[in-house]
Amino acid sequence: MTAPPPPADLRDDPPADLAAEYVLGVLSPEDWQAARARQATDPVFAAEVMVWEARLTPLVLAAEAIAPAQDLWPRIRRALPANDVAGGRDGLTFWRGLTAASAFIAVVCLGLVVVSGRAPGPVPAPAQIARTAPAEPATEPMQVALLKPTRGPTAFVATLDRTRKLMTVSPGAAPTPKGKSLVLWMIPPGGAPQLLGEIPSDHSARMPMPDAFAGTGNTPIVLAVSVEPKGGSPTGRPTGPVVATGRFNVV
Amino acid sequence: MAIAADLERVRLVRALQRVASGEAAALEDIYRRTSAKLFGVILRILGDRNEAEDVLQEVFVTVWNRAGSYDPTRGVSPITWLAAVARNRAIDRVRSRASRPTQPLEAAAEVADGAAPAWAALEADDDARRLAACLDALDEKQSSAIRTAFFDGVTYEALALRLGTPLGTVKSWIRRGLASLRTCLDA
Repeated sequence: MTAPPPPADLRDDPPADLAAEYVLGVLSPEDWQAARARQATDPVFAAEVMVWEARLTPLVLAAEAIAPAQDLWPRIRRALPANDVAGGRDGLTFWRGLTAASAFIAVVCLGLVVVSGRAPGPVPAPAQIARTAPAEPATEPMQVALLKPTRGPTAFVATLDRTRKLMTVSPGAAPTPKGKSLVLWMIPPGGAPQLLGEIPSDHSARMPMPDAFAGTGNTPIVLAVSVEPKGGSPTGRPTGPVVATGRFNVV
Repeated sequence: MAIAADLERVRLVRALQRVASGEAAALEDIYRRTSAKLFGVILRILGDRNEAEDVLQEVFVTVWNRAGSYDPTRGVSPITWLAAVARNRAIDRVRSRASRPTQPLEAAAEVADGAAPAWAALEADDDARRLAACLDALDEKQSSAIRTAFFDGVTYEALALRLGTPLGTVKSWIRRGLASLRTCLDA
């Protein structure tokens, strides 16, 4: 017993209900992290959390309705990951090629995608996006990373589905500079950037979850986008300016 | 009033089901009906419009990806589910910026005029009414501590500072309040 005895008037307090305190948001950062980790591994605790969320959430509905910026919906619509089967398949080929070591292979794959992939054009209307197994229950929360420049709106949106081991990257506001490629990197803590692949300029790409993401545990995965010569970095390291960064936080 | 709330609930449940089968038009419908409310929830926690818009964007990308996991048979209303997603995202953002204090709420000045007329009906939702009744039954200090903590997304320590009350006392108010709330809501 390290804690001092509570003052007399507090002795009748009910035992702390960790799920309730977690949902209420009052825990210290350390306790909150610990509770979040427990939510992922302890189904009984996770169920208690859900029940408390249902109990307390109506409280926030008392918040005043405030209109977000007019252009937010178009931005969201552009950011929706394209999950259509054809695009996904092309995306997979594309990303596999790019993550496979040499820039030469990457250039060849790029050629293949240009030939076999969808024609460049406006971002496809999400209304036409077909979904694969939408009701499939995910056992891990979907993660979203907004990649942004130091100033300015979100340039890219990445989503990570650890259950299905898939990552999607959607271009946002940033146009690809003429004659250049935008390349996505993972920045491990204290390590060299790892090449993940090239970001298409006009549609979302889907790729298998990079092996490097497994076992990152609670460490946020930091992503960066750099401008490289057409076809990718000649050295396997970022050579051009970094135009956006962001990271995955668990839902 | 109650009929309007039920209708709105059914509309949202249907829209979520359509989103789950890939209809972006249904997501836009949900956005039109709920974005001002959800933005209000997020802005209240973050206090910064740009950041709140980023989080709202994350929320709708999440809803697009996860609408299929909303289960109307579990007794949680669709707006409660959406608000939980929004609040969790906002809290996550607060926790990740850790060192920056929460801004006060001047941002709330720009109120959406008639942005979501359906909201009056939604607030009369059963969940919300029961919760309000149970909170009102608590000791004033307990209910106000719980409301503030949840609404603004603040920790025990921040709340103690804000109220100028010892940490142990604030914990005691909240723990007692939560226990009574549970009993009242489950009754």
